[in-house]
Amino acid sequence: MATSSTKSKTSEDPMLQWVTFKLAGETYGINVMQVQEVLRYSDIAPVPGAPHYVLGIINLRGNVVTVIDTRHRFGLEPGEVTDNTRIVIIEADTHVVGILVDSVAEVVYLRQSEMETAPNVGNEESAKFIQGVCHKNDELLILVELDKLLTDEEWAELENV
Amino acid sequence: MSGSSKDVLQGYFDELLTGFDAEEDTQGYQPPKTPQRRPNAAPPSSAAPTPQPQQEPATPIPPADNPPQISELNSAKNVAERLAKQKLARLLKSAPPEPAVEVKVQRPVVEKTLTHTEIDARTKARLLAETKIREKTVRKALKPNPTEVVVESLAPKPVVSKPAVSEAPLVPAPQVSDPAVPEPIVPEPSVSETIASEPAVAESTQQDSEDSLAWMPNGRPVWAQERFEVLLFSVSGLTLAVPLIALGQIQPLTEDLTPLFGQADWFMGLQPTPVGKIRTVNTAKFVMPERYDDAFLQSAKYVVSIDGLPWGLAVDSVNQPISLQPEDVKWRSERSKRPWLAGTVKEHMCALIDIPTMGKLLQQADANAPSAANNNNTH
Repeated sequence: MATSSTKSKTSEDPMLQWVTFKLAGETYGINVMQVQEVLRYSDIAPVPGAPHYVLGIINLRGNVVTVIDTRHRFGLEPGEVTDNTRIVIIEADTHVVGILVDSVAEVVYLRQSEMETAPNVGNEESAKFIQGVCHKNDELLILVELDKLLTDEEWAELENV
Repeated sequence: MSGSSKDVLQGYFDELLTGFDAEEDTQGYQPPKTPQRRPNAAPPSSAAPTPQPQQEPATPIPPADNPPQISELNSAKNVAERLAKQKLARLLKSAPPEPAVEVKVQRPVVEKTLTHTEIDARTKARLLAETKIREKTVRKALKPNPTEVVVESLAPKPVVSKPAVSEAPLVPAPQVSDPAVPEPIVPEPSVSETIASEPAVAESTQQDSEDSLAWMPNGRPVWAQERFEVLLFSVSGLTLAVPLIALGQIQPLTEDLTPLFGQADWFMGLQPTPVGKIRTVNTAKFVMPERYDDAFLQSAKYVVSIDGLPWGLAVDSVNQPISLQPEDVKWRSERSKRPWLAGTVKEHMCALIDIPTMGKLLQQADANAPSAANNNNTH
């Protein structure tokens, strides 16, 4: 009996894992299920004529992966590459891309109920990337919805890079 | 006849002379004067928190110093005694309505207020308490049995882990000594209630407050029909006034303030507090974008939250609350350009903010707000 109630409770309020990373001093989280791997920074080959939010491409075990300038995408100031800089390979909307981040922190467990809606004021398109916020480990975690990172047109544009 | 009448007259004068003092007493207790003194005497009894009604009669009796001679005038004595009894009875009647219960309630409140205050600066803390106090506290606490209410609110507090943290350190409120003005402390219990009763109470309270924040046909908000209190604070050199009735809490702006990308430029970020995340507005940019100076980002030290909403205004400093008469304010009739501006107060050279309207604007600006337009009341 108790087990069934626990199960139903779990299904109503599932536990999710989030990979957290730092960007411009803030902590962001992305669903661990969408993270394929985390790479150290390596040279990124620029692609002439690529969209402004594309840093370039990298060779990942024989596959070409496009790397997105996350700071630019989020409307943040450009940053410097450091020893902590990482390229997180993600799968979003059936596409595999890399996102450049200042550093990768950890994997945190969050219940759905712990997530709070973030405000969305202003007209910036990037605001829709924010899925919610959550207070964890004495800091505010900004949860990013990767599927909305690019629009259909932009994904199509990426295919041509 | 002449002799007897002489004796009678002489006796009458003697009686007058010897009973002069007593007569004064008698006059003092005469019906017409008694009612006038009562009102004066009553207030002190209410002001002094723990007065024992039985001792009070002693206060008005000072004329009893003269009475040594009263014994000579039986009639005057009787009158005096009767009047004294009546007074005593009246005092006893008036005393009950201001039972010691309230006093007890208030004291515990002080400690709590201090708790919240701790978060900021000491003086500002009191402002916090006052803010919430005005309406909610008084209402809730007084509704049924003030005593019971207080007890209830106090009991759950320990359960609420969040506020508890701040409570402990606040205890050492050295400023408590200030309570020379015990009354302002009274409202504090509400503060604790608000925190403890986060969701349910907040919603019900919100509707009440919304009603009380509406504007009347005379061009003034409901809360400004009579004398009202406002809190002054400065933003980039500009003094702003906000009605206490619409204020939530004052929290310090800390490094934990988290900016969110993709937001309007007047959105500073989310400030985590024991009561929740306050969506902090860059007040300087919101109120006077044409004169905005980035230095405000460094100078802003507090966030003043709006009652019932998750929004707050970043401010440089918080000043003392002041009392205003509706006539002191030059109310704005047309508020299309700056709908958040209720009016201006020349005497204090400040702008009075229409907080409810500002809250609505903020809510409507939030595309993620659950049916922002409809749910303004619900938040």
